[in-house]
Amino acid sequence: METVAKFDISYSQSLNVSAQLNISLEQLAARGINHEDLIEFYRTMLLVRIFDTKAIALQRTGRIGTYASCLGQEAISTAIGNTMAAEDVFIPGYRDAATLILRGTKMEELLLYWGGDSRGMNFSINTQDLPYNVPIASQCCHSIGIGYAFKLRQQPRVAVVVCGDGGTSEGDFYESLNAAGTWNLPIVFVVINNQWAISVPRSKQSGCKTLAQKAIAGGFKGEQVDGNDIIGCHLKLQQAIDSARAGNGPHLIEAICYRLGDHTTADDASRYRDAAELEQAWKEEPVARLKTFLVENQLITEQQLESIQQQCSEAVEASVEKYLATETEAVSSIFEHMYQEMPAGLRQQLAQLETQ
Amino acid sequence: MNIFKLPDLGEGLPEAEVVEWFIKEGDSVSVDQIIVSMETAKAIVDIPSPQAGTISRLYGAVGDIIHTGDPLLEFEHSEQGAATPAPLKSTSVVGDIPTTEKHLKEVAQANSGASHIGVKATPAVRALARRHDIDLSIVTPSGPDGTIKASDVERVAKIFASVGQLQPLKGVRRAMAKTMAQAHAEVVGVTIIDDANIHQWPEKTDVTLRLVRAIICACKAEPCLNAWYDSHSIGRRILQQVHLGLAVDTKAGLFVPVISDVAQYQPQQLRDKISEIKELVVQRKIPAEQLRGNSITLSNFGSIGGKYANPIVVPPTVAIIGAGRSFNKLALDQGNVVEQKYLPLSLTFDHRAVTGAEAARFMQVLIGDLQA
Repeated sequence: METVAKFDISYSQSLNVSAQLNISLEQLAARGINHEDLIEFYRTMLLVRIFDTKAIALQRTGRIGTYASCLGQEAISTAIGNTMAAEDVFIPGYRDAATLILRGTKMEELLLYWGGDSRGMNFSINTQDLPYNVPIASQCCHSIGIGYAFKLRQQPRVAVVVCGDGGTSEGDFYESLNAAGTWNLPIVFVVINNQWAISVPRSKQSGCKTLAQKAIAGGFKGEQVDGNDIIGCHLKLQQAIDSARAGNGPHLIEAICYRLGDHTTADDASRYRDAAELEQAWKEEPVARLKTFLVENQLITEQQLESIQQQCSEAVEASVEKYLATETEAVSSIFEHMYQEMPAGLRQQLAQLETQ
Repeated sequence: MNIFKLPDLGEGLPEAEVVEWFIKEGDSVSVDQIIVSMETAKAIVDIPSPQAGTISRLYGAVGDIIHTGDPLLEFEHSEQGAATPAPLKSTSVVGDIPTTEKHLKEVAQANSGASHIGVKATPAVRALARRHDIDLSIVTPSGPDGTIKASDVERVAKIFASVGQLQPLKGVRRAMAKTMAQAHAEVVGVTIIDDANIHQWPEKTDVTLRLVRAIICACKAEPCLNAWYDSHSIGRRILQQVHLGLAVDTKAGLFVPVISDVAQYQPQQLRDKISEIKELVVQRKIPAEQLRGNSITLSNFGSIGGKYANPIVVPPTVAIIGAGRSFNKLALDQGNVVEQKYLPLSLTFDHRAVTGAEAARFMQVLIGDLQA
C-alpha cells in the first residue's frame, strides 16, 4: 500500500482572545495593515454593530420586515470588504452588512431591502455586486458563473462568495466547489461558521471535523481562521484573494465565530440555545477584542473612541432618516425590469392600472 | 404618528400578549427605549419606542392579547414639537401606495383566522365593518344575491353594542377553543351509546375506578382504540400501556391530566392518584408533561348531570369514553318486570383509524366488565 494523497487543515489566529497580537506592529505594517487601518477596522465593526441594533429596533416597531442580525460576524465581514478590490464581485448571503457597506452600499439601501423594497438591492455604487441571497448556498452557484466569466474574459478579478455553516450541507455548495476546482476559477469561498443554522448546532450539521476540509473534495485548499480576529481574517483573505487573482484557482476559508443574536427577528434562540454557551461567546467577540488591543497598546485615545462612536451613531441615524423619507415604490414598478420590451399583455395591465 | 400600532413581530404573526409594561401613562420616553415586553407564538420580544415623547395611553394590560395592527400605545400631541417625526414606513401589513395617477390606500388583511372567502360586500361596507370591528362572516346579508349591505353591518353593530364587548378567551379556554376546532376539522367521529347494568354494584362503589378498570379491560380486548393516529402519514401507533386522560372541570376551564400506565395502580393507589392529580389541577400546579401523552380519554360527567353525549376525540388519540348520570329503568328479568340501575355510556371513535365493529366490540367488553 502506498499513500497517494495527503491533506491537512490549518487554523490560524493573529489576535487571540486575550487581545494579544502574535506579530509585531512593524511586521503587520509590512503585510499591509498599518495603524490607521486598525482604527478603520474598529470604526467599520462598530458602525455595523450600531446599525444592527437600530435595524432590530426598526423591525420591532414595524418599520422594516424580518431582519437577520450580523451580531458576532463583524470581523470576518469587515475583512472581506477591506481585502477585495473594487473591480471584484461580492456574492453575499444575508448577514454581510459590513462587507457591503465597505463595498459602497449605503445603509439606507440595506434598510430598504429589509423594509421589503427591492430598490435597496439595486446598489448605487457597487453595481456589480450581487444582492442579498436568502436561499441557502444557492449563491455559491452564482459565484461559479461570475468566476467563469472572469476567466473567459481573462480579467484579473476575483469573486468572493459567503455562506454559513448550514450552507455547507447543501448540494449547491458541493457542486460549486467541484466546478470551481475543476475549472480552476478565481473564487474565494468564505464559510462563516457561526455555529448555528437557525436551531441546528454545528455538531449536528456535519460529521466533518472542519468545514474547511470540504474544499479538498473540490480539489483546492481550505483552511480555518479565527473569525473573531479581524487581523487574522484580513491576512488570510488577502492571501486567498491575491492567489486567486494570480490565477492559482479557488480557495476556501472557514471563519469560526459565533451568532450572538437570534437567527432573525422571527426567532428566539433562548428556546434552544444554552445561556452559558452564549455567555462564553460574548467573551470572544470581535469588536471588544480589537478595542482592547487598541486601548492596551495606546493606539487609540479615549477621545478618538468617543468621536468614532458618535460619528457612527450619526451616520446610522442619517441613513434611517433617509430610509424613512423614501417614497414608497409606485405599484406600476412591478411591470418594470422584467422585459426589455414590455409584452402586449403586460402593457394592457399597466394601462388598466393607470386608469384606475 | 401619535398611535403606535402593534407591528408583526415575527413573520405573519396575528397577535401578541402583553407580558410587561416598562413604562406607564404620563411617562416620557426616548427613541429606542424598551417600553414593553410582548409574547408571540414564537418568542418573547422587547419592543422599543419608535420615537421620543410622552405616553398618553396604553392599550391593554398585562395578559391582554393585542392583534397585529391594533393600537398598542398613544403619544401626546404636544411632545412632537417642531421636529416632525418620520411617518411610519409601510410594512407588509398596511401601506399607503402612491401611484403615478393617484393615491391608493391598500390594506392587506392579516391572516388572523376569520376567513372572508365567499363574503360579498363592497369596499365601503368592509371598511364600515372594520371600523365596528365586526367579522363579516357572521353578518346575515339582506342585499341582492347575498350581498352584505351597510344596514346589515349597522344592525349587527347595534346588537354588539347592547351585549357589550367581546371577551377574548385566554389560557386554558383559548387552548380548548383551538384544540376543539382542530379536532372538529380533522376527526371523523362516530359515537356509540349503550347502558351498563350496575344494579349489582355495592353501595358507594367508586364509579371512576370501575370505569378505569373496564377501559383497561376493553383496551386489552380491542387495542386499536388505545392508539395514536397520524393523519399526515396515514398510520397508527397502537400503545402497549393505557395512558388515561381524565377530563377535569375547573373554573379556569377544561383540563385533561394524564395518568401514565394507569394499569400499574391498585384500586386504592389509583383513587389516591386521581385525587392528587385533581388537586394539582385545581391549584394550577400540574406540570405540563402531565397534561399530554394520553392514549385514550375518560370524561365522567355523570356527577354533574347528563345522560349521553358525543364526546370529542382529540388527535392523535382515537377514542374517548363518556359516562353520564346513572338511572333506573324497568327491565325484564326471567319474565318479571324489575327496576334496575344503569350507567349510560357514550363512546366516540375516530372512524379513520377504527372500524365500527372494533368500537362495538370495545363497548361490549367495557359493559361486560362493568357488569361483572
